[in-house]
Amino acid sequence: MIETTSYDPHWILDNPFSDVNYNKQYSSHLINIFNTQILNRNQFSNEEDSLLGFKDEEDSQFDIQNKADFSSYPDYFLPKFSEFSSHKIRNYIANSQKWVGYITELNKDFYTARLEDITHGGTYEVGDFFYDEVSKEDREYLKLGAIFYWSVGHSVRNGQVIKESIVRFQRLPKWTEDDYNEALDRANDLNQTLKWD
Amino acid sequence: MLFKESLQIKTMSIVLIGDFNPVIIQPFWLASRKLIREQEAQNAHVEIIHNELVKFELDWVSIEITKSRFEAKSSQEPYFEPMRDLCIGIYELLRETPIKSLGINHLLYYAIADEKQFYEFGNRLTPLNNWDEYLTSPKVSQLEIIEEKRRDGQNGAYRVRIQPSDQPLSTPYGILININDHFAVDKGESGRNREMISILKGAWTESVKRANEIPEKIYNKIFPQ
Amino acid sequence: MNPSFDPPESNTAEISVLGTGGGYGECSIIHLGNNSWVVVDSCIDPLTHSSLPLNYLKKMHVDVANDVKLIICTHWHDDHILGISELLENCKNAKLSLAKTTDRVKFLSFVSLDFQKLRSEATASSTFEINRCFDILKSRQQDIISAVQDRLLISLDQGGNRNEIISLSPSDYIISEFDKEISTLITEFGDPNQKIVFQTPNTKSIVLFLKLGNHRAILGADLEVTEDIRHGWLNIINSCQSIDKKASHFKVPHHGSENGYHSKIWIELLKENPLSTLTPWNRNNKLPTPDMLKQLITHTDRLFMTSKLLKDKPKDRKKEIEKIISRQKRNLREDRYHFGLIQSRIDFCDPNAEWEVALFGNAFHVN
Repeated sequence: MIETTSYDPHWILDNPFSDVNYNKQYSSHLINIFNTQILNRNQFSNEEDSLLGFKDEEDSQFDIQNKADFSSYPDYFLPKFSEFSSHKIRNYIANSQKWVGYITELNKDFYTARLEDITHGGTYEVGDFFYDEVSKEDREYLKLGAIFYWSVGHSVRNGQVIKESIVRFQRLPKWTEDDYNEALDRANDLNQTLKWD
Repeated sequence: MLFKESLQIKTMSIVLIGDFNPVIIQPFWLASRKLIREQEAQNAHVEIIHNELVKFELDWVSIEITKSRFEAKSSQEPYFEPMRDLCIGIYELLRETPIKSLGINHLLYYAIADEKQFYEFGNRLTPLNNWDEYLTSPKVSQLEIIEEKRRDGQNGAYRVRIQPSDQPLSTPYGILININDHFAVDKGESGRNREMISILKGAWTESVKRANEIPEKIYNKIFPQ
Repeated sequence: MNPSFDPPESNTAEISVLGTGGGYGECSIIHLGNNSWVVVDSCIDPLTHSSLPLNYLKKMHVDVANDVKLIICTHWHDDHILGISELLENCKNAKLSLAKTTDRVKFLSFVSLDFQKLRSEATASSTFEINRCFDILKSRQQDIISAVQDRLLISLDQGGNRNEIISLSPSDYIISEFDKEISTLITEFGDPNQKIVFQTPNTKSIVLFLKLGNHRAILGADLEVTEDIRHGWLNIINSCQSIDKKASHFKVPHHGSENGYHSKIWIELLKENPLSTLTPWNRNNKLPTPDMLKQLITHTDRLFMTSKLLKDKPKDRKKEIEKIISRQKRNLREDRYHFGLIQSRIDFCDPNAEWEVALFGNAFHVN
């Protein structure tokens, strides 16, 4: 009798990875759902104006060159999920200089902020920012201590290089009761355990 | 020359694996919670809103959500931290969402100057003369190196994948270094304790630092100055 | 005295004042004799984020785990205690001293709430440091010593001499005011994307009185002079019981500002021509002003500063980035890091000994 031992498959085979590449295996259920969507043909064409889709329900794999036979399909198309994004990145900004800052003074026409260089680190800086550079919808964030991001660099938009300076205030949801309770629990725990002389 | 001088495009993506309800997350929901500007919601390009799949783009970030996976992606460096804040904000509001793993992904696109250096890059990473006998004019197509036990002690892994660029760059010799900084809950954990969102907050700075350093250091190792 | 990292002799007291130019904290490192050390406040090198007092002690081969007995946090202001948690972590036997709070739960609630803000980069660095310190002390089950007027913080018998450090502030009045301020800070806690900007941190500063054999020293922290004699320097002059002799060593308070100056301090608390040390402030309103400097040198010809006042200038950057920034008229100026250390030593067994000074980095003799 051959003894068999059970073994755990290597974790690599077992874990859904959190990387950018899409999982190539779609359930046929999902494919059926997608196949019944009525979608605008133009939204899913690639730059060669050819249309991609599933070859058939069983084959949900793509590569960039794959082209479907659409003669049997009605006039609707499917979102494209490919191993590598064949969607060209048209707008990008790289190699910018970035800071995170907080407002230390509110003056008549400008605010002053303390800035941390998050590109290179090192020493802090102080700078002045005019109110009219702040987007209308960000104005409510103009308070002492408000956190914002500032970056300076070149963007590429559809091939056009543009010098840009971007100021964006940080947005996070307001505190909930849970947040307060968590903090107060910590405070109570510290109060019980710290020894004060 | 510093390798980073060849860097042309940087993309970051935050991927969450868990149990999601895609239809909740739509541009107007985000604006109503003040996670994005109203104007941004109005200008959003929505590809699909469906129980199983939601996919839309703002000026600076694209979002795709299925029942098991959430992804936010941006190629605009000034918006990487706002993108992180957006993900944190969404799942602070939807705090009951079970999230079992997190990927902070860095895609770095380098335009290599010439064919010789392009070939040498792969050749020095994995010596191709080992293959000469068996393959005609072998080239590196994709290389993946993995750290199975994270050096910070967190559950997860760290993967570096090197492949030719899938984006057109200023030279035809583009390289993509795709780094997956992967975190996961302990086996058996439900992911309901918001561990992954805490890690997203705490690990971000180090993740960015490490992803910026590794390509530079590897390049300097294989092309010593 | 030539600068040297040789550790002091067992009967030699040392007070070393370490400055960073203003933006990255300052601290004082005290040797009480027989390898017993105390560190007051903390600071970091912004380029490496390393703890500067720790670097100094390690350069002298001090056994930081055992020989640092106490770390005193004189006041809880952003940037004055940068690196203090790393210091405490390394100094495994050191206790921590903070200004007293009467409502501990409220104080701990406030720091815990601000700790929650850490997630959004909104927290003051000081609350991160304090929270880390609390976690360390909790795991070590170590005491926190509350500093209040006339409290003995540490006392060591050094071969017949009792060397001690006593807190001269905060006063009872300030302690109760601090509790009110915390209540206000909690109610006006603000959004998670909003840093708390402290209003009056200096009033709670801990001024220290050192007894080193027959010699005395006063470390002035950031305490200011106020008309209200319930707190500030006039309160110390009028109310403190611990000051038994005039001091021959003085760390000038609040960066030599007008707010930290009163002639009574020099007349009633200090000997003639005391050795005086000062850390400058290079942000916004620079301190000390030229006028104050002139005033200070009328009291002593032994005034030392950890570094000079620096002209505002922007950080060096790539040309194309500089061009974009300069077009926007941001008036961007760097919070410059300028390390300086004033090392002063005295034989505490000799009542007639004089302080000897050595200067490191950018420290210089003003007169």
